Amino acid sequence: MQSLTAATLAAPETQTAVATPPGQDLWDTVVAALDDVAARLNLDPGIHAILRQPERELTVAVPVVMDDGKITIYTGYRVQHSSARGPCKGGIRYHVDVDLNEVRALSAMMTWKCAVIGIPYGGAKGGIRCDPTQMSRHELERMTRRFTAMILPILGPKRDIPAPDVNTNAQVMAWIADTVSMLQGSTNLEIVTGKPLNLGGSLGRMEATGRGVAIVTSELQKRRGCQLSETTVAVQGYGNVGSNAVRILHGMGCKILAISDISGGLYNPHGLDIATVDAHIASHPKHLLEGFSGQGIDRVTNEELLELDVDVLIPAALEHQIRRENAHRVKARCIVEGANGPTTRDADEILNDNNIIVVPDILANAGGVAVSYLEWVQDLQRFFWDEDEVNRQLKAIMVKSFREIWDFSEAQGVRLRLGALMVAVDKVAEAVQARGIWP
Amino acid sequence: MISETPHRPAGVLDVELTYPDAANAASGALAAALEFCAGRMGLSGPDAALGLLKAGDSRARAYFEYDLGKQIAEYISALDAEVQSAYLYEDEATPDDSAFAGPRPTMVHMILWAKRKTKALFSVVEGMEGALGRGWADLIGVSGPVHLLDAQIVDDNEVRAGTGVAALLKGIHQPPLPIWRR
Repeated sequence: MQSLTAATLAAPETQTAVATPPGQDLWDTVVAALDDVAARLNLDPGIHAILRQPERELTVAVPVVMDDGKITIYTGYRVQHSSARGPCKGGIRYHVDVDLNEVRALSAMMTWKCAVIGIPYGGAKGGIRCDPTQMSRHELERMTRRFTAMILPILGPKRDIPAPDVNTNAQVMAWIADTVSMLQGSTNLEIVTGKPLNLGGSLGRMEATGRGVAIVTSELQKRRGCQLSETTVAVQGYGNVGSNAVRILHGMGCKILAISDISGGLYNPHGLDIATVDAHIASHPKHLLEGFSGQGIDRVTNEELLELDVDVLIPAALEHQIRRENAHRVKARCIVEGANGPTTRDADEILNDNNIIVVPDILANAGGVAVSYLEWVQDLQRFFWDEDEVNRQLKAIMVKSFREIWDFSEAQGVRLRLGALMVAVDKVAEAVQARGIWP
Repeated sequence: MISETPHRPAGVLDVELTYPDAANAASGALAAALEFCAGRMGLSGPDAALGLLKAGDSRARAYFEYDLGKQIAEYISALDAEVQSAYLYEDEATPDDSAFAGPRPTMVHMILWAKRKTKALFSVVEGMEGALGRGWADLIGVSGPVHLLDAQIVDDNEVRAGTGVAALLKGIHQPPLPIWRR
């Protein structure tokens, strides 16, 4: 058995050799998708070339004095894909597998996501290759502060605004904000989003992604001429996104026929009593659906839930749940992607062939990014809204962007995923065009 | 000492191997994980760590779950050679929603990657899940059933196909944390 240190833990791999590192795969995929869209939009080759690579990539060595006095050097990255539409925006992750290709790909995806929902940001992403569980709280703080100082030349409320990501949280954001404030001699809370509420964070953030999913589902059904009171929904995953989407859709009048978590799922063709289910979860020792029973309720597996006959299926759990092997069994009329990447490319083709409408993750789960933007706005104006106002602004953003993507896709005769990316790339290209190339 | 008995082939060492039973292993692991958490957080001791865990502190939870998960993975893999590696994962759809999920109960979400899924492996895992639950209930002073370990076993086929929770092992949005490998 190996002893574990950050140096010896390698990326997850199959028992057979992995041909290409996942990060490189993802970047190649991002570029391929951009190339396809560029051809469809007949994009200017020069602008295409600009979008095909990040504007700026910064690799830094982050020395940290550990608690035992030794020095460890961590590698950190901040990649800014595009600032054409506004300051860059993107999370910072701490993980053993962080690499430049992964960060690069994720930064580009942020550019498109911000453009899709029409918020005035470009895309960025950052990370430090480390194992935060191997570090004490003080070591994490020192690493965070040093990393912040190392990338500070390219950060700023009008340059690049980080946010939480894998293994970072509100505390890490608070450290970043404090470090910048100390170095600049003034309190600059608008430098990051995802801050604690008592430090310039925004109300409504906790529910934002799930609320965005619910809003998009509502708009989708309106466009299809369907009443929400007659809309049946199945949601895979009952974490923050899934549970909030369920609660809000239920409140809107939808019939939630099925939900699931890691322990499995519940199905009632007449609709689940969400309040009773939530009470069960609250009192369950594992906080799971496991053990819930009731008249008319059947247990289903996570796989079976994906194949239920419902109007709207919301995968809000893990990546790659709808794949080539099971896509042909999906009976839902529509899919609203609450998770990131729940549908593989192969599955997308099958769903399209079967006339299943898919609202892509880049739009459907953008509620969180939208409220991050609202947090930054509130910080800049030094005035904070109540939760109702935040939710009202969120709704306006999501409704407007859904309508734009829907109308464009319909006019172009393309599926929503492609339409969203085309709209996003076009917006960024327009911004590049308008600004010109300096000097 | 080499022995030859009617039930043991010649040349096999007559060495008595003793594995700690699940209850002892669980209570030891819990104590060690609380110490680990206290050390990492700079706390006065394991009681302070327990207090933070009861309050749902996310950083304390991360340290505690990591060390507990690592020990549990080592214990299970010592009993079952099918287990090849172990990971901890976040049970949230997106990474920034993990950050905003609010206080959550302590729960070790683990993926055990085994060459094959066997009944024996499931038994070992269930035994440890039960022992940990009872040990944790004692620590936090709860009389009802409590669970601390949610272990998902995946095999080579599932990892290759990327089905279910195995999809996370090649995922990019919510990559799991590798905690043990054979």
